[in-house]
Amino acid sequence: MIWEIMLSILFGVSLLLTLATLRHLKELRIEAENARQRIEMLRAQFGKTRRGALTIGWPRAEIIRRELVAEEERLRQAEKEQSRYQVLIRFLATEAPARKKSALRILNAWGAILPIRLATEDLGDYREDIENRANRGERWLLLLRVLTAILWTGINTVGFISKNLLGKATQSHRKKSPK
Amino acid sequence: VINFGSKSALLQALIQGPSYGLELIERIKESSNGAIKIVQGSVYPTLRYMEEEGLVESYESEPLAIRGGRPRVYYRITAKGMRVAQKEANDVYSLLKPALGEA
Repeated sequence: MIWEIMLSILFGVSLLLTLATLRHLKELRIEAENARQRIEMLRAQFGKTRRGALTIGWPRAEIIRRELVAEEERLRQAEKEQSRYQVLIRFLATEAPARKKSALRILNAWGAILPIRLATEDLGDYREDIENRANRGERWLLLLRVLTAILWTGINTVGFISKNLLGKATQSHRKKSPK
Repeated sequence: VINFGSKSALLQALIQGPSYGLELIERIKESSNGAIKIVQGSVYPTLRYMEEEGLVESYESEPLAIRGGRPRVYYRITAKGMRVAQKEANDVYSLLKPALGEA
């Protein structure tokens, strides 16, 4: 019971962190795009001001130049922070087949440490479900399915191992299909 | 005591024939017009528990590529499981008789 609670909390925290990261990434993208547009506008203004400096005056040109430097710095910072999330951005930008490949790779690695019966039954079903969803082009749900698979198989493993230790687990699933 | 939960739902679904987790979830959803939804993570622990009780038995299919070369594990209802399923169905039916206008 305590393991189930702890795993649920861990899953909840991971989900919240993922959502917060995605939100932060979206804000960064918007900030970078705004900075780019503003830089373009300021460059055009700065060019005009320099040409018409005699009529507008150099103080105005200096203000625009300072704004331009500040915007360029803002863009640099946004791009620098975005580069820290490159792995996640690449994963989110990939198409369903590529994402399916990543999802299955994670499940394969996870399956290697699970008891054989759970890897065959529980994880096998999640794998089949992910394959079906990927074939239908539901790429956004694949990551969520992987997280759900890891959570549930983790919880079930704790129960399965505890039961095995108590000597209650059954072995009859090894029977072969009737011909 | 009537205790109609996911165990009973799985047992009723297995009366229709042997099946595995994903298919059982769909079968229950369809049979109940979407009213009963079983959480995927709870299906196999329940089936394993039912197997220990002797209500169902399992067997493996051939390895499948869609499951990464692992087989599906099918469950089928046993004679004991069938008796329990019929008793549960009768108990629930008796309970629901007034609502169905058959009291």
